[in-house]
Amino acid sequence: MTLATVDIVRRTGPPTPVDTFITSGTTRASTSDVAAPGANNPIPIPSVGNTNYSYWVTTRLYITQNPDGHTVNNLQWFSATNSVPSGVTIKGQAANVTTNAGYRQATGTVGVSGTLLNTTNHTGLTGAPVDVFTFTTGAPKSLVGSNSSTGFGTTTPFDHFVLQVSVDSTAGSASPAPSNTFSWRYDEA
Amino acid sequence: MIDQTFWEAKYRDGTILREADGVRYADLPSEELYEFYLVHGGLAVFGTRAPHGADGRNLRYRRTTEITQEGGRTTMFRIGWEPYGPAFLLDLTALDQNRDGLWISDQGFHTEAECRCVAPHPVGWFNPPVPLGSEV
Repeated sequence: MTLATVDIVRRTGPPTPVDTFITSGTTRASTSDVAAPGANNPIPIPSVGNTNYSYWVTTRLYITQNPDGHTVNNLQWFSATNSVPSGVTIKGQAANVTTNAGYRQATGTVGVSGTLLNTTNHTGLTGAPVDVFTFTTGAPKSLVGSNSSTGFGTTTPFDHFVLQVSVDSTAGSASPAPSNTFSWRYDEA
Repeated sequence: MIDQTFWEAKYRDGTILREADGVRYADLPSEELYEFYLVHGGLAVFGTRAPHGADGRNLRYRRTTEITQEGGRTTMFRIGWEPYGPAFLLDLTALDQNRDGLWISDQGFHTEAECRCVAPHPVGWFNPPVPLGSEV
């Protein structure tokens, strides 16, 4: 019996999402719809009274191998750390509303600001984005999804989790900002 | 080690079904099931029997994995009897290294908000599983 191989992918781009595995490395929010932007297109600190946003970051679990057809479900997402400087917030929410199982491409002005993440601009969200640090290991965000094959699942596909970094004028200029660890948990049987 | 540990289910008529024989847990006809074991290297490393009033349909068995974007992975076995418990959390890798790796919840699976635990345990790992197949 072999455990299913489950990885985290970051989804970007049109016309169908491009999936980039990020399980073995960090990923970074930027003002571009790029899965691995490196140091390019950081979020500029705006003038007083304004806020700049990252392009929204969309992640999802993906089953790479599942030779014994184990059922993977009971998905949970949470933040394992809480390290953001003054003037920076991170909000997120699950997405599964059709079409494309809740995926919506991130938009905005490259190098300047992403489009605000809310249910008007991102019609795949299941609700209004909230501070991601309210989701902890003891109180994680439960996500929908069940899959006994490979991929994202078809009958009850895995939810996406979408987050966005906001920067206001009080933020410092440290680049890159401190990193945070976001975790997924799932059951297999 | 996790990948080489299999379950065995024992029934009241003496039948034993084994994951190593290709049986899927979700397909276990579990009403007559009353004992459940984890076997590693031919040895039972964990076993539990249906508590009074429960049968195999109350059994819950999951391998739960936590993965981070930095690539860390932790997998534990979560086994218990719903809704009354007990529930067990096993980190076989830790036990193999002589570290704490077994936690027991007398109240069964529960959220942290519902926790009435008297001993510390890894936070969040006793969260209730989603029922599968013939589980009730």
